[in-house]
Amino acid sequence: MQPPDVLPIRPLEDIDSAPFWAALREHRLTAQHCAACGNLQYPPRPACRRCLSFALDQEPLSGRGTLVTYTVTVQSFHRYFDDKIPYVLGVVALPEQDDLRILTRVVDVQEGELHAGLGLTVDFEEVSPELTLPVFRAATIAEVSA
Amino acid sequence: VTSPRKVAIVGVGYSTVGRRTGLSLAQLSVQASAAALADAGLKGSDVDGIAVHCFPHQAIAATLVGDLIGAPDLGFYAGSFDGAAYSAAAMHGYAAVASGMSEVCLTLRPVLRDGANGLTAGFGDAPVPDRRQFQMPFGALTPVQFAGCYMRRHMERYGTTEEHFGAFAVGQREYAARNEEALIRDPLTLEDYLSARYISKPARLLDCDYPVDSASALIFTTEERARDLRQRPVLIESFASATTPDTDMYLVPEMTRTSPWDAARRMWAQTNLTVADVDVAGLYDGFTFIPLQWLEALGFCGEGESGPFVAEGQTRVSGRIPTNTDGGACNVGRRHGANFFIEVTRQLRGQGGCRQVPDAEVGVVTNSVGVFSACALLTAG
Repeated sequence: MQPPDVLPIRPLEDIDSAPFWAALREHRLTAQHCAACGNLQYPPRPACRRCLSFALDQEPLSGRGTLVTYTVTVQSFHRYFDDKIPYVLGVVALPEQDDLRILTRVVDVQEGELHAGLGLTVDFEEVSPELTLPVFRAATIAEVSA
Repeated sequence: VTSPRKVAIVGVGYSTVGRRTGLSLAQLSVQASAAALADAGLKGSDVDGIAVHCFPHQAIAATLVGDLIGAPDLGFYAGSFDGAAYSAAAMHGYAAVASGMSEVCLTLRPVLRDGANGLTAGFGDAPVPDRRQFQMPFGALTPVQFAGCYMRRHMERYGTTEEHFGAFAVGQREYAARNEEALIRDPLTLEDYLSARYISKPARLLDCDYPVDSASALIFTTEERARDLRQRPVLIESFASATTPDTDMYLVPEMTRTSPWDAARRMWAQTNLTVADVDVAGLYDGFTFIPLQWLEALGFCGEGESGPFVAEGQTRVSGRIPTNTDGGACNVGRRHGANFFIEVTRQLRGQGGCRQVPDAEVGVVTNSVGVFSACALLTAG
């Protein structure tokens, strides 16, 4: 365990991102949804980048995903990660829209099992009372076929 | 409507370069500017345009550079922290001279070496703002991690291997050995590469450029003015930049096919020359996967075929396209894109010394990859 004074790296929530981070504290993975044209987008932006409408809300996502690519980081670049290496950073394609992706950590998957196309499902890592991160683990057979 | 003026590179220069020079951004900037002006046979008072590219956390203003070198009156100035490394300054300088806003434009890329934690170190325990809030809390802290993702994607999509990336590192080290200005010149074998430590798999230490304090300067002017100056002019035959819809390196639509494809397509559309005409290349090597992507985007090999192309030795001394004849940024240090323009300029002047590519008349240079990039075709004037 880290000594208690080692803080995780926290997001500086802003007017666009605060709803995303707030939903995660309630264990909901969301993307911005445009009420005007239906576009989904992540990361959060001031307006819909397809139609420039400002009528955005947070839409819950299924939590399913597919691994696009990944890297296994073996060197720590911040003391918070000193006891967390190696860890897997992954780009995960979300099924709700073609261009919807998230950079995340892939957890509980052996390095040899990682490959493009791996079916994943979201999990919620409570880093601190203020910060919950969406991470992804391998989907079970039941989840894939559900 | 008048057509844009042809732009020439007439002076190139570097500052003192090293891991810990003790020099300030201002000192490095003036050293490189003075070297490039002397190379061209020009004085600071001849400069009427300045374009500088910097990292936002280590910036120097273009107008301050003008003050420092004795430029009396700038008709054009641009400071940039956005975009494809040095080529962002080159893009401004090119546009300034082509449009007539500047006759003699200094383009400059000063860069201070960051520590091992580089861009992340400055945050301490403060919360991270802007798009970085969607990267750093997850542990995405340094560019070598996206390099690992790009490499893995190419490997899974095309069967590229770690040995293919290693072959590029080995090949350009051969050139570094011939370059007295390179900081790393020891011979490198594939075995050496494969025994280098991983940082973010499959990216190893030897896939990364070498961080240094440096400044690089190039002087742009018109083709007409260039005829009266000291050096054989090198002409910018065509120049193109490109971006992707997402400015996040991890979220681009397809990592094996990013902005270099659009930049290359635009560059070739501006010229009658083809890839078959190119004698020498300077392909940005912030990480070794980047020149491989450019080899495909520019058409030196087919899409997905850069790994075998490099492993065959096609970028080496006697290969199809001698590439990074100065040794690349992995070996000359991080000049953040400018060294490719400078080295290819020297090659087209015939100043390559013992690494000269015989009869080099056409060269291609590239900067960056992914969300933004640029390339230029240079010809001996």
